[in-house]
Amino acid sequence: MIITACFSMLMSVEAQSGLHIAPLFEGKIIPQQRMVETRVKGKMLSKYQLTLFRSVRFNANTKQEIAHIHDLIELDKKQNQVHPYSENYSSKKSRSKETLMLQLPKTDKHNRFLCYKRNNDEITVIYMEGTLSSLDTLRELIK
Amino acid sequence: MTTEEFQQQAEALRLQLIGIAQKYLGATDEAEDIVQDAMIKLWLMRDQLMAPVSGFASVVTRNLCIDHLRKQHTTVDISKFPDTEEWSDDGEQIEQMLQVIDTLPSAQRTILRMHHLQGMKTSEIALLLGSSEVSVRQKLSRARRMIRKRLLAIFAAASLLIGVSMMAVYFTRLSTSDDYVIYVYGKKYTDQQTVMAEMKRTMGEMTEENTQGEIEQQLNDLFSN
Repeated sequence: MIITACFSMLMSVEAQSGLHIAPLFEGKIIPQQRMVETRVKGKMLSKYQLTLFRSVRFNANTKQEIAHIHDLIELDKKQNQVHPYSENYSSKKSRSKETLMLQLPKTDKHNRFLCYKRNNDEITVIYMEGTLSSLDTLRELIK
Repeated sequence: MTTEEFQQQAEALRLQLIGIAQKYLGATDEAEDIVQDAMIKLWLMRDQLMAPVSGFASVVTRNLCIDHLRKQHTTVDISKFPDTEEWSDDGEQIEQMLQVIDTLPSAQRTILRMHHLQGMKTSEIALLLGSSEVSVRQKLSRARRMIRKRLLAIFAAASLLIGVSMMAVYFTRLSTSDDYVIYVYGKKYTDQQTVMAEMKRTMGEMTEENTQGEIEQQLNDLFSN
């Protein structure tokens, strides 16, 4: 029984848990029916030096939704004392077009990245982890 | 020797064998147990026995006493285990029980088989072994407790093994397997091409440099505030 409990607990733990933005990936902020959610894990990502890729993309219906996501990203940025890679972004107020790419502290020897992009009403949030050392490297790999 | 002949001699034989066993082990429960074992052995080979059997029975008892003194192994106190449940009729459990029964001491094993497989009553077993019904019941009870304890150990070990295997499979899968899925407005797609195309598109959009238009848009945002 204990083993089963541990097993189900392990199954439910996601890598991005612990981040303020995590509920967005679980469909708790924007309903799944309004999002394009991508989840990739395993050897398919080795080309990009990643082991996990998760993204959500959606069109915000209200300014409150945009502000909420922006606030959560801001909290993760502050709490993790991360190094921003690309800061075309304002901490105070969400711009209509903005991008923020963060390298989060390592967990389990994996590098972790959180990316946020707003293009007017369209919002994209990505969480990635793997041996990838920097987002500059990823940029090169994608070309 | 027939069953009836054995039954007739059993009580007298038992008293004689107790005397022999007590010479080796003293007036102890072990002496009684050894005699019980000897009687069981004799019962099992009754078809080959020829009267009188007292000489042969004495040799058997003496050898069992010597074996017992050689072993003198520690035993587990099984009196702490509850004895409230009866056997299940489930076929798989019975098969497992039979395997466990084979590991029991010979006296317990034989009494269990006589009672549960051959359908003999405790009074009949007692009569055949020249023992009391109480003693037979006691041995049956001990044997059941022993079986229950051993089966529990087997189930616990099996559960642990299954749990560990599942964990191993899970972690192996976690580190080596591919898992890809995309939900497009709630609709699930699992074909690799679609998922990878969406992933590349998203990554590409995120990492692309700002265009002149975006910079101008940001300047507009700035001045309009």
